[in-house]
Amino acid sequence: MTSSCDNVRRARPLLGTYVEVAASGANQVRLHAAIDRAFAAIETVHNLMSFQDPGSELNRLNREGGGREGAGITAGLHPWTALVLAAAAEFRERSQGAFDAAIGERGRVDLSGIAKGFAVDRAVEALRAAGVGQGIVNAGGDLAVFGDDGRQVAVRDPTDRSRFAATLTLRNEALASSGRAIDPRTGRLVAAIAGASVGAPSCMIADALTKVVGVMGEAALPVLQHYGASAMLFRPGSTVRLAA
Amino acid sequence: MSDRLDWLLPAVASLVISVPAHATQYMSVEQAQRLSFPEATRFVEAHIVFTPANVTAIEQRSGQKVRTRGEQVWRAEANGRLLGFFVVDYVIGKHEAIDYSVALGSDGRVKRVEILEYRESYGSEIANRDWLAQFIGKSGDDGLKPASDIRIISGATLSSRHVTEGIKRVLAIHDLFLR
Repeated sequence: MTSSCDNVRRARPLLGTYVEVAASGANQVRLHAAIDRAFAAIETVHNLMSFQDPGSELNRLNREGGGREGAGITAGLHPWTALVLAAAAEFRERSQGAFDAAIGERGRVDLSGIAKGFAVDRAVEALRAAGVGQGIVNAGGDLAVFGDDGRQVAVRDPTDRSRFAATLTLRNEALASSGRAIDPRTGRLVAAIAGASVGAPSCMIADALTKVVGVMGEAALPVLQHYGASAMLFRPGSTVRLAA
Repeated sequence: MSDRLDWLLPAVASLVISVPAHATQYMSVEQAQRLSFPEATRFVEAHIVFTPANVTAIEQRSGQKVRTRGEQVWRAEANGRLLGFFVVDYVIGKHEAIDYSVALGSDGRVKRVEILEYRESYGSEIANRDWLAQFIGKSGDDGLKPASDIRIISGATLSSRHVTEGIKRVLAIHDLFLR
């Protein structure tokens, strides 16, 4: 192994799951420094947007009751929190409420549905800024692959967890998966859809669209098209591919 | 036919056992020490062996079960000055056994957590033909490298709850033994 093409992989418990960062294309010292910055970006997102942590900026906002509308409340917020709130408002609008970060009464917001994907994107950005040419950031199955080499990713079949539904080759692309969704408009579990996996240009989009596809099914196609995304929709007994 | 099935089953079972579980070694203890305390000039072993009374005290303080007979601890020092403690712990979850390190500052706060080794017995997946196909053509000498040889999985959401619980135990051990 030459020092110019080392490969470093590290993992930490963050965002309620294990976040793995792999990087190659530089020497060990540079790769470790780059991965430190990637984890630092994820920790920042965690500290800003964790719904579990009462000290997060999001929960400060929730106590003040001002998160709901996304616009007009962004003054004084960290730009990343403001950006994710604005994105959440956009996803809600484009999906006619199939995606909704607002929960319950008094305008409280839970960004769990997109903050993980956003954290993956910021980690990728940090790696690239540090000069890493090739890498993977995987936050418990919500992941992004960047660089010229494609990476194989298996998608678990949510209707039979002992099976893989597909093996995809990802290159400069993100993939996120989720299981059964609750329709925020009715509060009910969507029985006809067992889960969804979405490939998209960013992990935040992939993360949000898994919920949109999980609620809307085939009707989510225009939303997917808008974001340049494609999806696998798992129904009990059948798998539907949705792509532009 | 059923005779044949009965006869085949043990063979299938042994095939499953012979397939290595998914294991990822992220870094060695020494690498994690250097990353956690880059300014340290040495790491002094300060391992702790628990008495039954210690176990009770740790469990009461942390609310977590103690399953080890001791804890691997190092003092991180820079020219004789204490920088903090480096602890190697492991947790066993439902599906996984994880070795991880916790770096504690001299103030007793968590400075850094790194996963050292992650093992996951894929259970039913291993019996799955698609999964097994990955191993075809690989001899034991190839040394399965998860990053390049085993696929990354989407849709396998893993909770880090067990490590979070383990860190509570490590903090109780710090408060009882290292302060």
